[in-house]
Amino acid sequence: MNSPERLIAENGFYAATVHGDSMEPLLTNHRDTVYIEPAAEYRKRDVVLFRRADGQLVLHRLIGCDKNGLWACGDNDFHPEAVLPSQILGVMTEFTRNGRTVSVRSFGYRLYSRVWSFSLPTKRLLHGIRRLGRRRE
Amino acid sequence: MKIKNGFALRRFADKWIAVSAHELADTRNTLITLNKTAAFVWELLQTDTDRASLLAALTARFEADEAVIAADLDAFLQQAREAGLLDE
Repeated sequence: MNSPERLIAENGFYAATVHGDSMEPLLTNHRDTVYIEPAAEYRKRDVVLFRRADGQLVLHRLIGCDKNGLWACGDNDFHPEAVLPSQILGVMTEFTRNGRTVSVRSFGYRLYSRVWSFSLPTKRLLHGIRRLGRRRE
Repeated sequence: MKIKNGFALRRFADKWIAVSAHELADTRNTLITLNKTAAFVWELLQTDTDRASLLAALTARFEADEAVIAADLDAFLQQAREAGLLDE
């Protein structure tokens, strides 16, 4: 089987279509794709692909990296979870959004990731504003 | 012939990659890396076509001997067939 672990080991990268809405509004379910590369270290705001203990593959953002460990949470989630570095397969370095390729080094993305990595109450506020905007459309 | 549904051609890190629409999981043919010529053929194969049309498009696009292009095209189509990527 072409598991992501095997593909990364053989090719040095992995790419896949996003399934699930936990990384909205950045990544849309069944539409957008991500490019994952292994990394020597992980930083706050990195979007990482990791495997949970139950085997589930998850793409979430690191919202905390300190001496207590790594904490990941989807941009559309409010429940951080502890992640071990050994669980992480790699870091998202590029993604497509509605067909357009975006680098995580781009100014627009870096601005987005800073805003979306604020505290959980701020994130709830941002989601509330977003939902309000949708209702008015 | 045409490429089966369920793949999206994406350009990542200066590479052309056909990404499966299947779940981020342990599936077959999850991703396929293509060179520039193969990516061109892949795009043509998004709609139903045949070998003659593909060869005509390739010879119009790339400056190379037609016999060489035909051999490369046949090799690509054979690989795609063996991987189960073509609807014929």
